[in-house]
Amino acid sequence: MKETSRKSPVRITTGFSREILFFVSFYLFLWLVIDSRFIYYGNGIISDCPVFFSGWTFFRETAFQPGGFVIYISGFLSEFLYYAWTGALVITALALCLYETTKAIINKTGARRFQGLAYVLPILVLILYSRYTHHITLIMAVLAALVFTYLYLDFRFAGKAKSFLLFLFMSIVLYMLAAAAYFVFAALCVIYELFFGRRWLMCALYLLSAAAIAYSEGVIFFNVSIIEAFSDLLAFSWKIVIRRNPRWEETLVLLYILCFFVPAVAILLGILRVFIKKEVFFTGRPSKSILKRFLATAFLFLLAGGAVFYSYDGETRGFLAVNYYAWHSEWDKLLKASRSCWSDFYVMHAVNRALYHTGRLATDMFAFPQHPGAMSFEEEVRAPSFKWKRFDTHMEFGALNLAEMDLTRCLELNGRRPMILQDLALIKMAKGDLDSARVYLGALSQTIFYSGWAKRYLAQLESDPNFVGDERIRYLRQNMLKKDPVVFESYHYDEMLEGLLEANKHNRMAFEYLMAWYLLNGQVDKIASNIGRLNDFNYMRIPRLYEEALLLYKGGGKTEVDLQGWEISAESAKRFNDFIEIYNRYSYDKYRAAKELWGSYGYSFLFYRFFSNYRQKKPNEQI
Amino acid sequence: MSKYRNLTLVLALALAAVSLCVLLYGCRERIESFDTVDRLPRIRPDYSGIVLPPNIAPLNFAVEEDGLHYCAKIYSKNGGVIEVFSRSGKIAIPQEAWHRLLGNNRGQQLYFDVYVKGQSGRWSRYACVTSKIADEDIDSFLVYRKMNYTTIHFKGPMAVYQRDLRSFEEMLILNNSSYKGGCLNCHSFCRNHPDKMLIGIRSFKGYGISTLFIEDGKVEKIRAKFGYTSWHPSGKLAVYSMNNLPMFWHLGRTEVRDTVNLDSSLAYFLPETSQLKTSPEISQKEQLENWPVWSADGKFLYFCRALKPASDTKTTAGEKYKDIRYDLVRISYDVNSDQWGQAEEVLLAKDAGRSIAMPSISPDGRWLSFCMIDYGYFPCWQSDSDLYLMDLEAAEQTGKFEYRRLDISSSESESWQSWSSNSRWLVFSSKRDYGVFTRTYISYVDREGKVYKPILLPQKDPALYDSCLSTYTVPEMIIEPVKVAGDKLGRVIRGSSEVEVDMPITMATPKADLSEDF
Repeated sequence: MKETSRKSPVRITTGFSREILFFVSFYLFLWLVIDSRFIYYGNGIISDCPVFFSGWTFFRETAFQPGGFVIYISGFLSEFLYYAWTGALVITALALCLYETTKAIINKTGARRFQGLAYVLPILVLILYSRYTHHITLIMAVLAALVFTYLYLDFRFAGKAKSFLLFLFMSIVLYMLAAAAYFVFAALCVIYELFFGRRWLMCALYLLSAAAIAYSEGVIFFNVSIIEAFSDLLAFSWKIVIRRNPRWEETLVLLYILCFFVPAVAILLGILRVFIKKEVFFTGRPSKSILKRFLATAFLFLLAGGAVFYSYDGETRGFLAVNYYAWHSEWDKLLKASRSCWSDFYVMHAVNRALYHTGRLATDMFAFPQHPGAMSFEEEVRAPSFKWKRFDTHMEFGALNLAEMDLTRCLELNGRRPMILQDLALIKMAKGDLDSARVYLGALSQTIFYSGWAKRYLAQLESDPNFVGDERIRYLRQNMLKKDPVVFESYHYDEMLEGLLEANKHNRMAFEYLMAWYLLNGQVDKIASNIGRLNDFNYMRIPRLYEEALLLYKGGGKTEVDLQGWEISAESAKRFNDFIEIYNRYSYDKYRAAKELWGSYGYSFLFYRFFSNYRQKKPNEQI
Repeated sequence: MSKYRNLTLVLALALAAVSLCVLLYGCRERIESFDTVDRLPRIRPDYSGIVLPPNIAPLNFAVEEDGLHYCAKIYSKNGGVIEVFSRSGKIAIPQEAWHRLLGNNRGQQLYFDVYVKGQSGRWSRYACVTSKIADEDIDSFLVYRKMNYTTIHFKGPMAVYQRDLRSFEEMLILNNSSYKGGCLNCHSFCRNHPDKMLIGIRSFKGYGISTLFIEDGKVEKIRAKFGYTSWHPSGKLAVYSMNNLPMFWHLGRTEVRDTVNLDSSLAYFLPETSQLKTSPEISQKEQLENWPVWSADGKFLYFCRALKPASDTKTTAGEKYKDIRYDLVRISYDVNSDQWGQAEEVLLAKDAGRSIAMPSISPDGRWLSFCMIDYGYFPCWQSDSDLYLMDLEAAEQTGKFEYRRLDISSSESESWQSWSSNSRWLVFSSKRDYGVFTRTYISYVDREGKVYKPILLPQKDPALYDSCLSTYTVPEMIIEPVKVAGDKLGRVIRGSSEVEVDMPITMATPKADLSEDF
């Protein structure tokens, strides 16, 4: 189909303004609302996060495979998600490129009137990111296919032989760049030749050569499996389908649309061409109506806004935010962010860590939803994503080998993410395994944002291999287990914490976690038997929750407890007596008792102990 | 007219190129005078005092001395000096000149003169690094498995590669992405030849557990899990172990991983009849049989054996894991009648004071190398694992199986040894330089059994290992490349066609589940 008439200046201006408005809004939404930092640190939740290392070795390993260039570039671009503003810029630029290439392809079919469809792919990208998924490799691969399609349509020759040679050349290059996403290009070329070029023989040749190129280049030349040769970097690749994140089926549909939207549009336009002969139907008439233009723009924003509204995943955002703040030790922000998703086990786990660091674990832990499983993650040990969520806690209280186990498993599942390598390097340095640490640091020194950190430690390995001047390593070392218990399928959380206290009786985190564990499991006798450990720390008084547990254990004076010099405050004793009185008053109706006690005792251990079933609700809710 | 213009353009370009070459040649570094430093240069890998194969790839290295420019002159008695200049300190030796130099100087000393140009602009020459070129070639190809360092979860990339030892070319044999991820178990060859090969796979995504049998280019899938395997020299059978090897983890020591053999026995595969068999002599219920290896003449099967713990539950056995120590025994076998003899003791753990694992016999039948560890069967995760050598020829004469610890053992774990077809080269895995990231080392073994300082498997970029997060394990030398590779193997794994094996084996152990075996 030949090119249609030139655009009128009015349409150019309107279209351009609309595009600017759309993509500026797109950028601002991604920057200010989505916040790519949460995605960058969202490993364990975010799939398809390619990695990037500088240097020839990584380039060679990554780029020299089908789709390797796209994976390499995607890895590089993904690094920019480290900052919210650069991440938004990268995603917006990709969306803009998708828009421009789609528009250019539609224009090449002579259906300028339908170029508004070019907004579909950017909106799709917006939806994907609103759902907190990150499929940059697939987006890049589709983009590469669309760019090549445009180039083919632009350079296409009138002669069949020349066109075929051009197609072959571009196919070979594109397959190398984008693997099976190349089929999007091949499909578009076939559709174009079929409906618009009317060169039937070319279609057959293109179809045959597309399969032959994928087979010969993928299977024979690059030695990949036939499955990978025909599916890598497409939505139905097993590497994508294998993911089992929440709402995954919906995401998969979106990825299918991403891959096949433009070919579908091309087929539709081709069919319309067969039945509708009026050129004006495809080119449209220039309109000077401001209202029409306004309505078109409003419709676009309505569509994009609606899509975002329905797809925006606030819960995952909260979850990722908690993850991010935990990583950066921003505890107050973590506690605030946890409000949108605090029934999740991981969030409970992170909240406890934040409470410990803000000095509130022993007093306020029941102000937040609690569950023993959320503290140890033992029951969920087989869920891979949970590995992500506990290694930092393990590391902090000194269970370095447990942290290492989880970290290496995360490395298997999520790739060589810099944050995993950083923690592994720290663990190896703390354990004195400097040879291993050097390798992790060597790899990290080839990343963009962790390079400086790694190089500092590499230098320190030479100048101060014992890390005398390094507070972090010293902290990890002093808390490490000194004995070597072994773990078969699972371990006893309390025994592990006791082991840590045996190694360092001043390990306050291990102590508070041990006491929290006893509280969560209602083991008040253990609270009583460990109360003497308070002497190893600088507590001013017995923390409130421990007092409640002690009072419960004492059972109103029935059991003697050696408080080893510590005293239960009169206020706590009175609160306990009042609680018991109200509880006994409603002994026939637990629900009514809970309702009355909630206001004054909702955040107490006593309430948790007696009404744990009612404590699943948020504290600001009425029960 | 246009024709002449093009010609002129081509000539001009050619002239420019020649001028550039002359200019570059004229401007290249020359060392006309230098100071002398009376010590060896710090180079990595350290190649001083090694014996190297005459057909090995260039031993590129990095000079770790402060300087602005670096130069290495490599030479030997029969001529052929190689001079390499570098700004980064990485010395990349030209491959062709290297092979010429080594080929012309078999059995001679090889010298590396290292020069460093300091801040003052003066060159310094360090003491000469001397090594020796062996007379005997090493087998041309090395097959190994590359994977992440992991504590269990085999979900990452894992592949078996073959490396051309004469160059830096690394070719894929099988990638676990061919079957949607999973484990790739040990590979085994018959007498260093790739014509008969076994390789185990465990797919987590629907292709199950199987072993690929490759013979003369034909690939077949056997629906059975082969553990550690050894081919009979005749190629008529392959003995393998069946193991129940759960992992466990240490919370306090440097190496996190550990494993215990709760139950195991030996069985064998007869390719001609597609039969899997066992015999009471090699699969006793009260014993844990493991690590089979054939003597060079095929008359004896050597293997490791320990008494099974009283209970086979993981926990109970786990508490006793430190008490399980393996003896080295052997049993005679008649390949023509398929008859096994009675097992006889070769080296007892109680005499050696340690547990014996991973025996490997040189193809000339003289040497038996093995690992010894404080307990258990798996040296890779025991930092105390050292290499030992036993002279089988001497043992036949004296009746005493005497052995010695090899000086090349380090303070870290040594494991997975394999012999070259000419019995002069021993390749093994070690954690000596890179911690948990196992690397491959090559040592020369002379006719008297002296084992020389090992060479780290050379790479084009000598700094590659510094940031390489992959481990290199199960190195096996072969004389030719494996010809069936990549998706040809993948298709068989994914396909439904299987060899019907006659498998009457119903021993306590072989539950073909996804428990972690190594």
